[in-house]
Amino acid sequence: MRRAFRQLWLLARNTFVEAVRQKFFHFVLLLGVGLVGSAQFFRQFDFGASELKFIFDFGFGGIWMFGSILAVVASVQLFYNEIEQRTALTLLAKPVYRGVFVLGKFLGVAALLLVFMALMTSLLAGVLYLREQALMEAGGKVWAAEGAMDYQGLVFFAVLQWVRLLVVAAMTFLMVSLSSTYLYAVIVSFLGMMIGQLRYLVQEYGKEEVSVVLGSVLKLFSWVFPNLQLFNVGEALVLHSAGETLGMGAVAQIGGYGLLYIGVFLVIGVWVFRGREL
Amino acid sequence: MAEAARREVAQHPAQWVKAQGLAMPLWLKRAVVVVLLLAVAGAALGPLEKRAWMQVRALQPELRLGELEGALGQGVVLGLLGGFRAIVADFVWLEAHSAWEEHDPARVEGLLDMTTSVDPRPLFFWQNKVRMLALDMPMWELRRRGGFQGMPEAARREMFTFYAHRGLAAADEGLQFHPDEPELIEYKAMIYNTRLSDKAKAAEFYRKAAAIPGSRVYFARAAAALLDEVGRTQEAYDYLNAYYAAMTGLNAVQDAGYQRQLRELKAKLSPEDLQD
Repeated sequence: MRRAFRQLWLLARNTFVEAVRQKFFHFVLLLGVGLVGSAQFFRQFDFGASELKFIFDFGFGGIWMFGSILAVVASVQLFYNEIEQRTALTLLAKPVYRGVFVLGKFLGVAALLLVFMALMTSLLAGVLYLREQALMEAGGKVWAAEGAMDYQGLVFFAVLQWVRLLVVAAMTFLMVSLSSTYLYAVIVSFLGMMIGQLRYLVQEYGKEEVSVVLGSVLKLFSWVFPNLQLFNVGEALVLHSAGETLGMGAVAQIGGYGLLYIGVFLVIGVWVFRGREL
Repeated sequence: MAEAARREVAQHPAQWVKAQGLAMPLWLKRAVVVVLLLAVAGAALGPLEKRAWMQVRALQPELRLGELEGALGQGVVLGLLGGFRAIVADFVWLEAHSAWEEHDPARVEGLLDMTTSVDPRPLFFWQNKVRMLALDMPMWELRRRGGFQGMPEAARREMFTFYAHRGLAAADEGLQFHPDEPELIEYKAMIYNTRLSDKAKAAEFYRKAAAIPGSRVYFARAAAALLDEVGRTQEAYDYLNAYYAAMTGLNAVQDAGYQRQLRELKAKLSPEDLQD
């Protein structure tokens, strides 16, 4: 058991180090920083929504977009590199259990996504804070009461987004275990992510009067894919002006849902990988 | 012979299936098992997801639309664009404004619809959509047809009524996303008053707008003035008097305006009280 944990730690650490050295990560990080930083510029085009709301929406939209690209591509790349370079065979012959191998890779990707989220959230928080201070100076006490940000809520929201990215990464690992080519794994993973984003619509449509067959298909569909829209709670957690807030109980439920789905994807992914010929 | 084949199938069914080329490929077997396992897990996590989703959904008005089509449309936009829908809507709005400058009603209306579909949250989009539909477009049409002199009155009235109802429909749509917004209700009152000449209906909507906390000070006065115009002076006085009694925070000018209007209404009701 201790050996397995040590192997897990080594695999995760090496995966993380390999990932942060990749040019792709630097490129995505740079784009993300540029987009979040430019939210200040794009607020000139904002009509009607409060400034901080716009910067927040735009910033986290960028973080989610680049984060999900990183989650999918980095997961596929780091996994397939080992298989294509035959280093996986050497590792698995050590012996390193296949489950430890998959889990180690996943933890490395999780650490990469954590660094990405931490950097981007810190940048966005800085941009929001500076703009909030400027607005408070101009607007005074009235504005401060109506428009203040909840930075504690921002941290919770960032954690939930990290969990959402991990769900996407875990789904990607499952696809990688099933797929035989790099491109197929990337495309199917992105499709799975988009379906996850839109999957809650299946539930809404299923409430209408539909045939038994269609209803069963929709039900199966809603069970297979996770509901990624569940994590879209930024306004309630962060912006006081939203009027409604989300309790910590709900935040814990959402986080728990994400973690359980990560476990499901990884367990099934390990099971598939164990039966796969390399 | 047939008996021997039946015995073989019964004793070694898997090998028989494979020999006939009917066996499922391994990748398909795995995919089916994966889907089934995910379905079982998804069903098990269903109650947890449902509890959390009911709370999250309650916070997003665009997903609580009465019509499924509208809710699905909003859902697709929200799911795909996420936080970027605000900036996309802003650029579409700029395009709509550009079309407005060119007095192109078809393009303006299409772009306004797209703007409010992509991001229905800013009140600014709905306010301008209602104004452009109800007030600007009929004037463009009128100019196109030769102005007040060039267009018969009946045709002009029909045209203004048509666009007024388009504006009202847009206001109703906006109120689905902003149910407690007095300005959209005020626009309905303004359309009924100036375009449809229905002062009673306009007064009704001014009263609804005035009842919302934080609404403009003059809404109640407008309602009372319109009620007076349609001959319901006693009702106007009673309403304005009660509203004024409950008001706080009026400045001197606003307070003087309310008092003057109340005196005028009272004078109409009992002329012997004209001298204070």
